[in-house]
Amino acid sequence: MTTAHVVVVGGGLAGATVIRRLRDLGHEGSVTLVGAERHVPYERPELSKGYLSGRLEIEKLQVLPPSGYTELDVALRLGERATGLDAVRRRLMIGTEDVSYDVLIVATGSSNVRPKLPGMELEGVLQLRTVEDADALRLRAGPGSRVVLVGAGFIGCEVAATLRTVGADVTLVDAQPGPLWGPLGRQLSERVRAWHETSGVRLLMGVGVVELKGEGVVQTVLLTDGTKLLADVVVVGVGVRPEIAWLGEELARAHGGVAVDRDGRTSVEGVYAAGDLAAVDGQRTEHVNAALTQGARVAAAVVGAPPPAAEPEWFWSEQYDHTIHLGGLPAAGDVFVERTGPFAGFFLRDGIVEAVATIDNGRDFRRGLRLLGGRHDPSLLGDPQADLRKLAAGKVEPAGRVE
Amino acid sequence: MCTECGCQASSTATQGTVTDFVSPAEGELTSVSVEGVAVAVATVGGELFAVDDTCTHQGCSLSDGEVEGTAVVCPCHFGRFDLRTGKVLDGPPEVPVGVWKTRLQDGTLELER
Repeated sequence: MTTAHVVVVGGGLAGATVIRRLRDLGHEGSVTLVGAERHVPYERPELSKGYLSGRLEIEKLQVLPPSGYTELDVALRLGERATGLDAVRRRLMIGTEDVSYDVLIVATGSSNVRPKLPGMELEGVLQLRTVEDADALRLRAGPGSRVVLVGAGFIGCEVAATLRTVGADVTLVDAQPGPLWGPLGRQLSERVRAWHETSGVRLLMGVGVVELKGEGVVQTVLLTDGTKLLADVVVVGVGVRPEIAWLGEELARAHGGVAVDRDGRTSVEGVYAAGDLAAVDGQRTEHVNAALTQGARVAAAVVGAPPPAAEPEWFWSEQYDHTIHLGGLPAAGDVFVERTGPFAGFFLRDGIVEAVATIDNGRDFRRGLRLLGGRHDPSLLGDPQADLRKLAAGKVEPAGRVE
Repeated sequence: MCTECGCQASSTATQGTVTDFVSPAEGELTSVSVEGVAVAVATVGGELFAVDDTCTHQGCSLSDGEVEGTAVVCPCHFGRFDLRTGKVLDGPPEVPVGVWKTRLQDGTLELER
């Protein structure tokens, strides 16, 4: 099917990756990219960091420069939003127009959850997903401005670090016991908390938000414990939901998104999905690496090339001068084995390494990923002298067993 | 930026030497500086390979990363570059990394691109 007309819906990293890989693999058919944003696809992670601080401009975030799409012979339909799908006639609806396709890639990503709080409509209540969101935040949050972040997940923590660094007065609020408690677990959460506390961010954990108040513009945030926080800006970052309402009921769903197999095939012939909204074997992943690997697999499936090797899921978060990496899926109740020196931690369940996390230690992270799913001696995992590469290759004997 | 392939190497040749150079162990990396440019040097199969020590994605130091076969993997977001050609093999980077020719003689490393 190298001459098929491929229509990619969604101008994010997943969609852009599918396009790049299709052309890499020799796909000769026409390719159309439909994106609701007026920008060529860009990487979102820096919106909460380098772009927000002003260190990086949008050009540095783009997956490809605009000219790259001309070189790849891709028709761009940016600033246009898909509104429906007729899978039987193989047509994508864009408002009153419809576009025919041979292969459709659904990669519309996700949108931010808007909690039902009184006052969400007030001016100064922001979210972060797009370049425009980041611009609005950049404009309002500067040195001395009072910023309340609702939600201490990745967005809340990274924005807190960036804005604190530029001199804003920052408060992080979350109902969980600590920042990034859900995705990282207690041990890493405690380290993240320490960075923020040392930097002067106020952490209010274990409390919820009741109401945002102000006269047209937000002025105070009322918490469940009665605390009233003064705020010039409120950023709400309490999770995302797949952007699939436009699809209707055509495609089978899973985990709140579109159900796909490992190659990104949906329940409908000729329709694939990749990125935030794709539930691979029932599991959705909202990270860069998932967009890259799923995009590559979809492209391979479309042209009939062998699928790229499966990789464990992983992600990173950057706050202040620190980089956290986490791979695999930790769960409450895992045994946590910490490796001293450059920080690395392993999450063990029934003796099996289920997840690995490192801080400022990408090398051990990469090596640790190869230990996932294996049974390894906790005393060796925790021993900074034991080479993780040899451990992965099964070449390290536990001390005492050497003859 | 190089006009031929879009890599970050300048179009004019740059060369320099590093005296008292100690080769990294097999499969390891080290960083040197030539004419103010940080260069990552790796030993693979007993041979020295050198690329710019700055990832073309977000600027992390490749010498803090890892050698995998004949590739170097950035420690930040795991872009993978071919040490021989500078080509992006996978991961988020889009632009190839600049490659340097290496020659080691009597403890002096000569680098040229």
